[in-house]
Amino acid sequence: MFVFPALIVIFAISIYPVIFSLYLSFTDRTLLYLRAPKFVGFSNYSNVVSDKLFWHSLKLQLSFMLFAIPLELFVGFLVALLFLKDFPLCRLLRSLLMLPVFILPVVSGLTWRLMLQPGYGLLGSFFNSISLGPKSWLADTKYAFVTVVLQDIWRMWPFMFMIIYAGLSSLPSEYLEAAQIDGAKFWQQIFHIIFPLLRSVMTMAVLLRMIDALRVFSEVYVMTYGGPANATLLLPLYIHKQAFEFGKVAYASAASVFLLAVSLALSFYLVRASFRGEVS
Amino acid sequence: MKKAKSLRLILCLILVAIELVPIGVVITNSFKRDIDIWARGPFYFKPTPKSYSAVLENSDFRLALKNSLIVATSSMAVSVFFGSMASFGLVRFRFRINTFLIFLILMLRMIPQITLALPFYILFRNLGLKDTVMGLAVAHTSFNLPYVIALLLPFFASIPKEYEEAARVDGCKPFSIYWRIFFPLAAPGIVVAAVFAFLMSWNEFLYALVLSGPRSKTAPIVVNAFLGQYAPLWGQLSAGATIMLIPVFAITLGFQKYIIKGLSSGGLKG
Repeated sequence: MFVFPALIVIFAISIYPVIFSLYLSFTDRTLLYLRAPKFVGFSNYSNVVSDKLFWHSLKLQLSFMLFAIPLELFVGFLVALLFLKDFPLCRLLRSLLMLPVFILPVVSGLTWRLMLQPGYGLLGSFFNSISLGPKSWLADTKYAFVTVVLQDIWRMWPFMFMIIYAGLSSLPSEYLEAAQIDGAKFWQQIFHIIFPLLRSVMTMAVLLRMIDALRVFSEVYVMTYGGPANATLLLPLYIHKQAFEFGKVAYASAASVFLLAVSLALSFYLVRASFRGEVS
Repeated sequence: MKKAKSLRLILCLILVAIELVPIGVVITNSFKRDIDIWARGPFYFKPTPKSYSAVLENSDFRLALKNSLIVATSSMAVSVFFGSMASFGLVRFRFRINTFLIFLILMLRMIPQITLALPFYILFRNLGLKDTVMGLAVAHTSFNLPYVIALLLPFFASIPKEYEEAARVDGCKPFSIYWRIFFPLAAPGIVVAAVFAFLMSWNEFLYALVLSGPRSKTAPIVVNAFLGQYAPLWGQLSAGATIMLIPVFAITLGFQKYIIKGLSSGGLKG
C-alpha cells in the first residue's frame, strides 16, 4: 500500500521509457515524425555493430574508465593514508577536499576549458611559457582526451578518498597496532592488513565509479563536445549526437540499449554485493 | 612524532591548495571583466562586481535560475513524498516481493541518463511536456525517486519495532503510524535525502539540454551558453557558475556527516 504509489511513478518514468526505447530500437523512427515508424527488426543493431565510430567511442569509453578510475583509486588511497592520523587542521582540509566532488559537472568542464585556453588560461599560458606542448590543448586530438581524463581525475579522486578514508577509520585500530608491535613494515601493513580488510569497500567504490563513468556527459559536452575529430566522443556523447544531431533516434536507441545493458550488469553486481554485505 | 605531524600538515596543505585551484579560478574570474580575462592573461586581478551585475540583469539567466529552483524543489518534494512512503513500506512490511523490489529499485537508479533521454524526448513531445518546467521535474524524478528510496531504507530499518507495536496497540492506523511516528523519527534521513535530491537536480545538465527550450532552460544551460559563438564571456560565465556553486558548497559543507552515506547510495550524476 505504501510502496504502490512510488511503484506507479517509477514504472511511468523509468521502466516504461526503457521499454519504449527498446521498441524504438526495432523501428526506423527518426527525430522528426515524418511518417509512422516501420518495424525493421535487428537492422539498427547490426548497423551499430558495423559502425566504426561506435567501436571508436566504445574504445574511448573503455580507456577513459581504464585510466581515470585506477588513478583516482590510487591517489585517493594514498591521501587517505596521509589523513589516517590526526594532525592540526585535518578536519577542515578533509571537508575542503569534498568540494570538487559536488561541483556542477558543467562548471567543472567549463573551468578546465578556461584554464586550458592557450593565450589567457592559467594552465594554457603556463605551458606556453615553458614552451611545452601544443598551443591549443583542447583542439589537439592527442591531448584533448588526456585533459578530459585529467578533469575527471581532479573531480573524482576525492570521492575515492572519502570512501576509503571512511573505511579505514572504521577499521579497528588494534589490527594496525598489533602489526606494528610485530614489526611489520609500512608496506607490509598496507598489503597484508589494509588491502584485505578494505577490499569490499574498494570494490564498491570502483563499481560505483564505473557505472558513473558510463554516464559521463556534461563535462565532456562543454569541454570538447566530443571533438576534435571525435577524439573525446565517449559513448553517451556518441548516442546523443546520433539522436539529436543526425536525428537517428531509432539507431541511437539501439546503441543506448547496449549502454544500458552494461550499466545494469555492473549495478546488478554492485547491488548483489551490497545485499551480501547486509546479510553478513 | 611532532615532526611527522607537521610534515603531514604541510603535505596536505599543498595537496588541498592544488586541488582547489580550479575552484579558485572560477571564483576569481567571476570578479573580472570578460575583456580583461582574454586581454590581460590569468594573473591580472583587479576585482570588480561588473560580471555579477551583468549576469543578474540578464533576464535569461534570472529566468533560468528561477527554473532551476522550481525544478529542483518540485522534483525533490515529489521524490521525498513518494520515496519515504515506499521506503517505509519496503522495510516495515515483510513481503517476499519486497526483496525483489528493493533489488529492482537499487538497480534502477543506475540507468544512464542518455538511455532515458531519447524516449523522454519523444514521449514528452507527444504529451506536450517538452519545454516545460514540469517536464524537467518529471525527468529529474526518474533518478531522484529511486535514490531517495535507497537512501532512506537503512534509516527506516534502524527504528526499533517497539514504537510500531506500541502505536498499533493504541489503535493507530498504518498511515498514521507512518506519518506520526516514523516520518518524524526518520527526519534526519529525510532531510539528507531531500538535500541530495535537490543537489542532483540542481547540477543536472543532460535532460535540461535535451528536454528544455527557451521557456524552461535551467541555469547550467545558460551558464554554458555564455561561451557564445564569437566571443567567450568568461567573466559572466564564471559569475553565473559561482552563483550556482553557492548552494552546492553550502550543502556540501553543511551535511558533511552524511556525505559518505549519500555517496554510497549512488548519489552521483554526470
